[in-house]
Amino acid sequence: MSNAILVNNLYRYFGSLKAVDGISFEVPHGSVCGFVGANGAGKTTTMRILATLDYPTMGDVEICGVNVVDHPAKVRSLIGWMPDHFGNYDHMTVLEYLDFYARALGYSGKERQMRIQEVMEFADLIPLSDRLSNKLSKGMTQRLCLGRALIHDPQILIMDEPAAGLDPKARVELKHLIRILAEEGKTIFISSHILSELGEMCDSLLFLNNGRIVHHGDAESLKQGSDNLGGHYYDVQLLDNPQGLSDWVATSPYAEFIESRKQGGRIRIESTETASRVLASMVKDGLPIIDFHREQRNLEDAFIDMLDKVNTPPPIPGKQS
Amino acid sequence: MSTSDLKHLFDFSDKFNPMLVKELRQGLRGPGFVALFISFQAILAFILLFTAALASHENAGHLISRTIFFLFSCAVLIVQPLRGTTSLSSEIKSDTIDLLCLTRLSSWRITFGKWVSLVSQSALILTAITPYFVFRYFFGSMQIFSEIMLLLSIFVTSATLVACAIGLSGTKSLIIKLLLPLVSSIFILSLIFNVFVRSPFAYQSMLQIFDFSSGDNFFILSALFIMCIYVAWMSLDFGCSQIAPIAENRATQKRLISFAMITISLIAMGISDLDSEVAITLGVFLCIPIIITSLTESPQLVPSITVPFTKKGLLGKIAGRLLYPGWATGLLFVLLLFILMQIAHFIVSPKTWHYHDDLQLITLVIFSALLLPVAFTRIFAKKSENRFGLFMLFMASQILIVCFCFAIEEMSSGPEVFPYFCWIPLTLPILDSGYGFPPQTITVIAWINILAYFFIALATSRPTWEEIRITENRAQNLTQS
Repeated sequence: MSNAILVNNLYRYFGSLKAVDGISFEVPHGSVCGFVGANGAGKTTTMRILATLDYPTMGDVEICGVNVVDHPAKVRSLIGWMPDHFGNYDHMTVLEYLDFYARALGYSGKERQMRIQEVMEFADLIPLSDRLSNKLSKGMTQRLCLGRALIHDPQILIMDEPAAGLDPKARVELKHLIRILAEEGKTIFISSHILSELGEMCDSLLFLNNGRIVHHGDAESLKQGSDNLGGHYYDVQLLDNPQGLSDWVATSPYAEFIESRKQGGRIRIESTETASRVLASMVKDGLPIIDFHREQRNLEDAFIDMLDKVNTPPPIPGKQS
Repeated sequence: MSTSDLKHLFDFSDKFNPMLVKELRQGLRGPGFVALFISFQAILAFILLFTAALASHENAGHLISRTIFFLFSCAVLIVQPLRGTTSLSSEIKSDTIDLLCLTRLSSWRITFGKWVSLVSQSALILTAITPYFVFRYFFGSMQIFSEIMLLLSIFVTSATLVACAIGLSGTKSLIIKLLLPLVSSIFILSLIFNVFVRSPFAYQSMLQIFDFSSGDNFFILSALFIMCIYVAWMSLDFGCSQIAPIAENRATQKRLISFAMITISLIAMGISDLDSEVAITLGVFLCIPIIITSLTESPQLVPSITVPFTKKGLLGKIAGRLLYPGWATGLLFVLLLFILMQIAHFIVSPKTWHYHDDLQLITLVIFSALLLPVAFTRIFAKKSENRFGLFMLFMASQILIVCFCFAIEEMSSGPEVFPYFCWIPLTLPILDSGYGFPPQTITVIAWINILAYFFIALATSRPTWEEIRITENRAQNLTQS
């Protein structure tokens, strides 16, 4: 499979800030690649460079073999871009909005009509055709944005946080649409904070931290790699005083408190051997435990482990811990 | 979805610029235009009836004309350009500019479409006042030809101002986007108030200019008309360069057209019996827009831009040094324009050409005043990307310093302050006119200024030239591979 996206040693500096710091990766044709990173990790900058909206300080980026800096017009015909935020035009209906972009993309006459009809049907925009585009809900706006990005039937879809701010129903609808596009064979490069959703739909995941790639592989390999690194997660429920759990964990060298839950919380323990010791200590210290069970690690855990690993300074040679 | 639902998508022909279609759909529905159009009609109808009822029959005609001109000027010379000041900035602010750039619309079609839309709306206002002109005709003493020409001139001026507003709307500098339009609007309002409301004589003399009874008037108005087209084009192109991707070369064409236009204008003025001083001064003024844009361009260069030049070998590379985008090559282009002006000066008046005559001083002062901001930017704000904003800031500072010196000399009887600021080119004509310095001394200072600012800018541009060389090598490798 040839590469739809090829990034080679990409750097982007804004003054002294290294937004993207020498990343290289490839995305094969027809695959769905998730792009993950904390806010400010460099995701949007990378995606904007891929979409020809920004330019690299150094390095090469190719879309279907075409350099994004040298031939932006060619690249633009190959990609559909869905930004995380965009403003809609005043005094313009959904139909007129799509018509404008269809005209701007060079469609005319019956062909324009056909393309508009197709994307409206695909993104379920027909009931909204006469609504003003700046008066839509966030979910409707995202569907409109997806429709706009698909008007010229691009080979590659670059989506920056498409699910941000969507309610669960709109999120499910959007996920469904993305799945259909993936089945149609489009290459999708998508960033999101909702890692569980990315894990379900992506063939590969790219983790970015401080402008550098810290992992590139499928969701399973990430979980596997992280298992060796980050210990096990346990759900602990108490009969009363859920705050007691975090207080107890704070004094324990073998457990780490991850998050509070209704009747207790989620903790991380290095190994199963340590887990039995931790449980015994809890009981010994009088914690009223009603449930203690191991949880399946999810992508969020793996991501946090990954960040912990890269952010931990390497041990100083000769110094024993 | 039924076909009838999609039918109204054909309300505008496919041949129209999509940007124009969008802007008209939005603009004609927008409160800005609707309020302007309706209030314009209402005020005009009310004032005309009121004026007609009150004024004596003899004066009523002129009074109605002046009222129509005043209101029309307010609408198209103030309101319409002010609407243009948000054209590109609103797209940038709402992030829709990215989506536009990803279509097949070039930056020129985006900017031009916005301009045509606003000018079309001004044309609608122009047609809306026609009934009032017919009404005014019945009051007699109408100078139809002059008044129509004046109306069209206001329309052309409006189109130029709208282009300037759209061009500036893409800049990053808030001062330029907000303060400049505000100050210009106040200035224009006071001007049109003086011409059409305050003084009937100013209005009469304005009409006399437009009756073309004098051949000079015709020549000057034609020159101004061409100047309007040139300024409008330069402004729109400036707006384009704010939104164009770096792979889009907007500099080469702009510089070539400007160079050709300036050369042709100089030849035309040389052939005509126009005074050589006026001809050279007009020529220098024609250079100003292209000098400003050339000296404020981003130096970012990509191989795809240099390929057409490097393919032509050494000659292509030499041409590239003058025509590649970027302020550094702009410097050499300004040098070329300066040489052109010197040649024109020599051809137009070979007997009077000298390094220290009056015409030479005008050329030196204007060129060095435009080079000073570049030199200062290179010294004090090398890394700033807001080159245009800084350029305008340094230009404004020069004018403010001159005003400041005037104020000090007016207020105190102490020592003269202008000589201390002779490094500011704009002070030199003042020093030349009333300070008793020999003309040669002033011209020598002007030469020192221009050479100093040019060499400071050139010396600090070394890294940019190195970048250009690397990009050219990359382009050559790409071509070979």
